[in-house]
Amino acid sequence: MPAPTVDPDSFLPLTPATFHVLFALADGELHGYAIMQSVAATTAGRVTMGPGTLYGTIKRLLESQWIEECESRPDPSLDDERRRYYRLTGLGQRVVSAECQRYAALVRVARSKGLLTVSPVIP
Amino acid sequence: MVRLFRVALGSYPSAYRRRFALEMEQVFREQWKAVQSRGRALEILVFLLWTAGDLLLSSLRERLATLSKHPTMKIPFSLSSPLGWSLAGGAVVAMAILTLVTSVTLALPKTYMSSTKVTLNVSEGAPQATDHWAIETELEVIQSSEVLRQAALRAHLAELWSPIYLPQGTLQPVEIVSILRDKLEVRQFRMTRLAEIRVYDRDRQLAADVANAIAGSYVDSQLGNPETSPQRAMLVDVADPGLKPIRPNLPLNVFLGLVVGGMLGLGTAGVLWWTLRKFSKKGPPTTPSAAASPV
Repeated sequence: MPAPTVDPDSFLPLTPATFHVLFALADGELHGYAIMQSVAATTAGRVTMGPGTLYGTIKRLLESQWIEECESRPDPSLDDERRRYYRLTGLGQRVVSAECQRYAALVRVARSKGLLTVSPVIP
Repeated sequence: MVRLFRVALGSYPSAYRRRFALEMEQVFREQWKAVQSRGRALEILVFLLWTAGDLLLSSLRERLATLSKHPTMKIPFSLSSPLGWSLAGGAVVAMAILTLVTSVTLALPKTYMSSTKVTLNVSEGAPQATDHWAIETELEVIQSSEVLRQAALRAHLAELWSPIYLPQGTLQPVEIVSILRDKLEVRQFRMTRLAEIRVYDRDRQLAADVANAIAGSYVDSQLGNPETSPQRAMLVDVADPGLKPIRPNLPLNVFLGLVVGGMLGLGTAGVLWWTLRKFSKKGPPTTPSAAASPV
């Protein structure tokens, strides 16, 4: 008997920190500092996370099995000190996709109301 | 700074620290390196304050989450609920205000007060109305430039205050009189011919010396006054150095800090509770969910 499928829409809307971490991991495996840099780059510096917020979010995502840890590997920028890498699970992928769909629907409605005359530019 | 960060990680629960402390330290080290390389003092300060705030709030959250899972803790509400968060936020604000008020009070320089009493040169037989005006006049005489100038000479204030108030040079008499007026308070003892001369200064001995000098200058200024016969202005009470500072008033300030902090803390708790209830979003569940099949 197949396992019941969890509906990702049931977790929406996501908190900003949760969304940004999942969104960053959509690019592939990343370590903590890279997630932080990705969030800052994606939002042009408008969203910044401290280590406390970042790892509190990672902890909750791990507990919910939306992300998982990959094997740690050395990083030359840290004199080969080992770093832990994280990646999305299948459920995490579906949750972040569902949230992006929700944002896309909001953008369509905003455009139809004339609230978005040009596409927002994020360098 | 990284060592300080490592110490601050002690505020997290031990299980959390075992799992994430090393990574958090790695991240902070890289952020700190990036901020330092830009070399802007304001940016560094803002970064440190922001990181401290981030650690404080997230460690509080983790501690509360740990407490709420503790099997022996019987609390009427979940500490990770909106109410718990609101109360924690209010408590943080109240403690922050109390800490700020106490720190500022302790950091403020202490001021001492010394007072002396003189009888005023006022005719005892004068009618009540004239007597009142006469007393007011004498109080103004005590604070007049001439009396204060003489008092400044007696107390050697030019030598004592010039290094404090001027980078170099000597204070002029008019400047000394101006400074003295800011430190001086003269008042009448009701229904008497007595005036109290109060002087405030950070140096308790100097406050006493200046009070006595002003009193002595006033009494001397009445010598040879054709209307003073016999002389009525007299020094009644010599000023002694104050034993305790009168400013800042630590118990009063702490009490006010408690009251204001308590009120603001309650207000913050109320706003937080309303905000969290209104805008609470579903984040990831805190218990492991069933693993879904891969897409």
